[in-house]
Amino acid sequence: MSLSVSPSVAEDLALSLDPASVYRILYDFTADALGQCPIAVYIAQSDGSFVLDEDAPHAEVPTHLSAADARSSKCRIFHYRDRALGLLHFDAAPSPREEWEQWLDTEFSPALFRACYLAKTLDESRRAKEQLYYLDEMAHRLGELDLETLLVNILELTTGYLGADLGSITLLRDGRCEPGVDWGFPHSALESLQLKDGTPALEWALESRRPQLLRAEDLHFDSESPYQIEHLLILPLCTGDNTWGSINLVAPERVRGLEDPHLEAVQSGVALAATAVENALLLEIKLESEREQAQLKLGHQIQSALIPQHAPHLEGWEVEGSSTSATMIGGDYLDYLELPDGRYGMVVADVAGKGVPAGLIMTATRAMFRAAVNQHSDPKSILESVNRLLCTEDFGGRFVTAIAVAIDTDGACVDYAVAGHDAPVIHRRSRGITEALTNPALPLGLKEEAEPATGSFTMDEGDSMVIFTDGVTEAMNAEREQFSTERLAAVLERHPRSPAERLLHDIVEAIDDHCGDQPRHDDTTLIVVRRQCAAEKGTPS
Amino acid sequence: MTQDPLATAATIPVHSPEHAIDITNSGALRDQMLAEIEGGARVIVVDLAGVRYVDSSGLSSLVNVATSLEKSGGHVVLCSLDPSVRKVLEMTRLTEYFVITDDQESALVKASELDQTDS
Repeated sequence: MSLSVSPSVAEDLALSLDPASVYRILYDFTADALGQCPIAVYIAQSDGSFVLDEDAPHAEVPTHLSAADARSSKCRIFHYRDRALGLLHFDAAPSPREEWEQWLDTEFSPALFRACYLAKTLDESRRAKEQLYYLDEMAHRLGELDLETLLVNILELTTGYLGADLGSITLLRDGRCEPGVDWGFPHSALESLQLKDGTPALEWALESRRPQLLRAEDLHFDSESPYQIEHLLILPLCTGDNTWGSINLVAPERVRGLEDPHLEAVQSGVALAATAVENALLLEIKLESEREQAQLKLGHQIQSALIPQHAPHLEGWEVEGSSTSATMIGGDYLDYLELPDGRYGMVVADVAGKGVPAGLIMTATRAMFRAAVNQHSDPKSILESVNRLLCTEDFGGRFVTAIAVAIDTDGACVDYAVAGHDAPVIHRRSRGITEALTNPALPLGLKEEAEPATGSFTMDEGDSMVIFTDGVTEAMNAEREQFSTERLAAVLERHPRSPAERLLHDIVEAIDDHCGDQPRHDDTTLIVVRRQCAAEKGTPS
Repeated sequence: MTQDPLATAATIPVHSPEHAIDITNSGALRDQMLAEIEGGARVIVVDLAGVRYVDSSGLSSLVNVATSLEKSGGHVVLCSLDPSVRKVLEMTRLTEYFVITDDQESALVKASELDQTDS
């Protein structure tokens, strides 16, 4: 029987644009020509071996054939432009038919090559279109600044693109993994997954900073877990040296291996997403810090209102005070108090430590002083009363140093009591000298039975007195030299005739000059009291 | 049985802060010492040779540790005080919270004695 290729076969082949149609013609024509059909078609690889083409009808055959296997009489290699393009596998050695053999190499091979090329191009173009859509959508939906909405957008797009049914996004904050958003795959299930050696899978993947595809055989499962995962793709969200979290997808259909081309596109999308997540997280931190700052500002306003801005007017005396906090909330306290016996009281106190904790204790201490002066006029009794109240509280070892002063404005006698605090510095106008008193005593709030140290002195006309916190004398310059009592005394001695307001201004200026641009770590509080000379009386203080 | 005081001294925590004990480091120093007390330390030595300045938060931290140790009959031993630091401690009468010695060697001898006496 002679074989000739009918024009209809040639025409069908010319019109076949996909490999499946080309194979159908091959199988039909081979059955006619040889009386038997191939059981599989293999495609030649560059190393000379052959790989089964899953698109062609095939029986139970090996997926790979070596170059040696291909020399079997059951195999017939076909060529395109003198190079092996593939082979047909028969279950029995085919009887050679010249026309068929010629058809195979001259008609079938080019048709198959063309169809495969076209299919590949179409596939690539479809993939490119999907990729473009994914990246375009990602870019559009990453403008979202609300973190949760942003995470939902990222997860929705990525699960959709890679064909995963379950997924989640984990966030890494302060070194700890937190659930971001999940789509049927809770954070607890992800966290419980371990590698075979017991390493937590999520942490391992985050540390690697690369996409990781974990298969069931790589993972150790809790047998009770409802999540028996076939494979899991973890895509860390990284920018620069930072890792912000990961996108976790359960069994994404389109990623079977790390070389999968879909993964390449996803990596560009994930890099975009990581930047958006970074921005949203940083914005969240910034907003939180702004909220805290606003709270601190409110606290500062309330605390400022607790410190009297103006000293009361005292006939024949000048009194000026100021308190400046090193931080928004301070631990210094200054107060002017009317005493039950008609004397004029003043308090300067300093809570150990700084910031909000010290500020809260300062507020409590102020209330204690205000309560104490309802019952006591004597500075020592006032401090003892506050000490007893402070000792009933547990402020974690924080104590309060204080000075209380009572001035008898008629007799010009000053009584004072100190607890762990500097005693007054007094400038004697007539003698041109300054006295700095020292009265050691325990601070308030440490021992209930502690006794404040006391003293008294008179103030002659033109004398001035400063009571202050250690923020004044311990203010440091760049050489770590303290402002010191000596420098304070020097200011008083330089301008012996200055009114209290001027003295206060000069002292504050001298401290500022001393410190230069050194940051101040301590609150600075002082009260300047000056007894007017006879000639000045009636001058408002 | 008599024990060599310096043999015990090897187990006594010694802290040697530098420059200052102030708001920037006092909290960490206190937490470290409180952790040592938690771990069973009953005497702690703080060598102040390198310290020129102790602010109120520094004093407060040292007192906090001393009062915590007091509950178990323990002590803080301060040594090598700079005159300015000694002045602050005296002014605030906080000297009564601490055992004070001239140098680290005598501090360790004192600390070992205290550790053995009290246990």
